Amino acid sequence: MTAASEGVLALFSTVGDALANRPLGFGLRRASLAARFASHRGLDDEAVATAWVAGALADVGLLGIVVPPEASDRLRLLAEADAPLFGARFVASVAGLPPPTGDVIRWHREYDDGTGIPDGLRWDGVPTEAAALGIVHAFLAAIDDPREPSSPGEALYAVIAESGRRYRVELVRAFREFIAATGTSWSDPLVPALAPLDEDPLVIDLTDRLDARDSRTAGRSARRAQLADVLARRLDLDVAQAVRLARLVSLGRAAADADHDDFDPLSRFARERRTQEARRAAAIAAAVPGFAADADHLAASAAWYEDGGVEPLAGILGLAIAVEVLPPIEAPRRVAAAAGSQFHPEVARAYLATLGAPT
Amino acid sequence: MIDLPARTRRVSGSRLLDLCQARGITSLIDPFMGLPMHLNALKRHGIAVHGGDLLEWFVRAGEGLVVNDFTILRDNEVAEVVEMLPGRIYPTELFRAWDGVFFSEDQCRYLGVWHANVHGLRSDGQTGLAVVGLWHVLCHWLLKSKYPDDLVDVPPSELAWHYIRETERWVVENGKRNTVRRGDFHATLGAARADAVYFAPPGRSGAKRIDARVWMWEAWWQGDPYLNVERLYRDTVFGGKVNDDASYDRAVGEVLQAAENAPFVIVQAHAREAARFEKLVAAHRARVDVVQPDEDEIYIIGSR
Repeated sequence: MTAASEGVLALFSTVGDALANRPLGFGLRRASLAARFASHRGLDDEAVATAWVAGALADVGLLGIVVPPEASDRLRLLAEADAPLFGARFVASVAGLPPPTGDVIRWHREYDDGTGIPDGLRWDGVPTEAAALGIVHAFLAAIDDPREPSSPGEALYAVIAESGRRYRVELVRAFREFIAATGTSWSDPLVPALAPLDEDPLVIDLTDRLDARDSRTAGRSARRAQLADVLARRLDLDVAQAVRLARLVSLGRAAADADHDDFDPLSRFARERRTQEARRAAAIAAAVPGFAADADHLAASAAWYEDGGVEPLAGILGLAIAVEVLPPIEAPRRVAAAAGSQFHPEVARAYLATLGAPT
Repeated sequence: MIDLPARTRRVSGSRLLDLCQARGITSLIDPFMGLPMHLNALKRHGIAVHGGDLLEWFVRAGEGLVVNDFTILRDNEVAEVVEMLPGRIYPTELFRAWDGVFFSEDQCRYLGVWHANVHGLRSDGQTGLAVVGLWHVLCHWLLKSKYPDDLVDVPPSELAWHYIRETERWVVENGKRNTVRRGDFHATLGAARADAVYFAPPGRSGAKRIDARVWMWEAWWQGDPYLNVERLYRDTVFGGKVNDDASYDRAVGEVLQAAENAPFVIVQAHAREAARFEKLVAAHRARVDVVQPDEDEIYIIGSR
């Protein structure tokens, strides 16, 4: 059984970080701190587990939100106000998570004074666990603010300054006591025991959601996985790993401002873009222990064979990415032309053989 | 010090949205809307919404957040609300009765200034936004009087500016006609047709236990610090003698009866009263579904 901090929940959490433009691993730190804070308040193990999962997945709703770069601040706000709602809906669709998690995520950005999102709930209408996660989030977000990082003391002050406005007075007092009582250990990881999850369907769900963020890429990872399956069998490689990697390539699209992927995949422009996306996918995978072994393959997926360092699995990924974008009628000719330069020759041969094209 | 009760009913627009979307509901009426943040949330998601209430400030709030599609307040207009305008004579003594009881002298003076400024605004939309924004200031002051050491000191006009700006962020249009009206449920349900009627029945003696932050703001809007909001409810279905089960059930039944034209009726309840409401809804609807996300929120959904 994979620990929750190493498995697919952690992957979702890290994707949430990428979409929220936060340092990778922010969500897992938020999860640990939320769980510690819940434990400090004397909650039972189930509530602590709920706090952890909600902290980890709080930003996962951003998967359902795409804001065009030219959108006004108002439109951006209105769109992003739905992130907690989408997150709650996602969590409700995953069997095996603690039942209250969805509501904690739904309302963790509500403020005590009624000015939060998505509902403008106020006072004790905001569930306590959601309000507590909101405080934890604000504290860590101030520390990890890329423009103006705060020390823990400054971050705590920022939370205290909003006591009675954004955050409930009693909870701010409790949080202050908690930070004071734990010294520097508030930042230590804490992972509660969670029921095991069926990871493969969740990875498929995650990559499908990433693809669906752009109508031009919807369903792409499923098609890549299909091709990777065929090629891995022909080349006698680990089929399950090839399929999984072909899906995980979509992690490269986990960015708030991912552009449309319209370039000819064999062009120099596309290479630059692909490298950027491959690095992003690799960074996300590397940040999650259960997926760290995939990172090198993902990073190599954008490399050209002639530059060296492309092993067959990465070669399959590179070819699957290109073929998925090329017009079907042109694909055999162009893959054949680029075999040995852009594409791994064995992989290209295997692909052409599957089509019955001359190799 | 004023008592700020801690049992706020959670009325969640996003939860209602889930219920509406699952049933294909595209329009909804809430005849007891209160502060209509939930209607605003539904409006943001394309649902046509209609609301009603007996308190005028709730209706004003609805004009800003529900009816209003485009109007916001420019910086100079916000300034004209939150600051004393030179040369204008203000009723600074209007809320003197609250001085030393709930608020400081300075705060009472601001309440008088804001009362005059908001009543001078040019549109219903702007008025509604200012009413809601300034209400947050009142809530802040009352909370500050309860926790003087926990809340930071913010100058009144700065606080007012902040909250008006916060409020107007939610102005949005949904391409539908959305309405609010001041009146009892009969008037509201008779004036609009919708796929669903939603209501969270007021508790027994609801008018007597009304939150200070709500009645005080009605008193502020009316410019009468001695206003007794109980009288607004006295002749209404939940305002009379509803302390016994039969009278209360009859009151809920009247609302359900008035909602019979809507294909769906959604009643929000707590765990302790859910079974009773379920029976009442079943008496008016062929089919009853109960959706229970948690004990504080149970939705009894009646349909034909």
